[in-house]
Amino acid sequence: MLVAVTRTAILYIVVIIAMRIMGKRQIGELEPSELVVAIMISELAAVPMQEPGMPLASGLVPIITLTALEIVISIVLLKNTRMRKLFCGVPSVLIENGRIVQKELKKNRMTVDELIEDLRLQNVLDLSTVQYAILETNGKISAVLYAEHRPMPAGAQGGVDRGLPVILINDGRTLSDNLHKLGLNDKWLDKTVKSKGASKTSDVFLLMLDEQGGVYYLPKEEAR
Amino acid sequence: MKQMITAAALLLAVLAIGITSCACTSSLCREMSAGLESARSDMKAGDWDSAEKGVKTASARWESSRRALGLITGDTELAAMDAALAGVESALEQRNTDELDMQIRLAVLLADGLRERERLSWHNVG
Repeated sequence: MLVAVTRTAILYIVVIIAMRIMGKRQIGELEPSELVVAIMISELAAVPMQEPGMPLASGLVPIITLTALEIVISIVLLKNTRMRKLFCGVPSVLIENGRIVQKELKKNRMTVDELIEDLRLQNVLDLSTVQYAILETNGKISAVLYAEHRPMPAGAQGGVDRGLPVILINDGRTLSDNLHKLGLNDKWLDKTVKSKGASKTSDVFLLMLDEQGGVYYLPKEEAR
Repeated sequence: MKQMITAAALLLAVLAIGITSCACTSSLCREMSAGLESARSDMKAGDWDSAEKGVKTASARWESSRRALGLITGDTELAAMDAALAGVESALEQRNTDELDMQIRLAVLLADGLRERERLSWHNVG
């Protein structure tokens, strides 16, 4: 029994260390790959805890391997948007400009009841007040209400509905699909980037455009 | 960068552990099998002294590595090999040819099984 206690303590400490090494994201909102890793690590730790005849290394080595692989994958995903789409998927717009996108609901195997339930959990009772509802890659739904229904921050006089901002440059990479969807081109983008003080699009960390034409610009730290 | 180095270090560490355990287990089992097979040949040739020497060498090799092997091998496999070697020694004491032959075959089979289990093969991975 003392052996079981010691093994449990060792495995517990190793799992905690593994989670800490993997970072805060493991503990917060989980992407699909992160959820898989978290479940696998807990299963791998449980087996040697329950079977004293099994060598501890049978649990420790796979846990360490998974931890290392998870860090490598997350660094790759940070740099590569294509891989990120493959591993994490893309957010789905379920309600666009007040209309439920039924095709997206079907694609995500989600019923209207589930959508309404999720919105209700965010204190949104009236669907007609929802301008956008986005199913994020971690499975949560983000609801953006029409401007007139949004809670007013303290001291605010009244705001302009800026709509849903669209990302045009992400970590130096131009998202051509989004650019063309807005009816814009690379020439416009270059001009906008230069007007913000950057010499080229690869120096831009984030550039977003909202429906009012407002531009949110953030240069890369190493480019400053 | 720091995280990448940590990840690389962890991966290298587990690879090193894996390769080392594979190499050491393979070497141990090969030596034991060779020693026991040699003892079997000596026994068949009627040279019981040499057979006894061979068995003692194989058993000593097993004993010296058993503790380290316990870190990567389950208790069941270790106990099975212990029992097989005990059977070999018992048959040797009794100078029972058939029994010794069978016990050595069993011990060699177990040693080969141990070595095979650590190998990176399609059968083990799949």
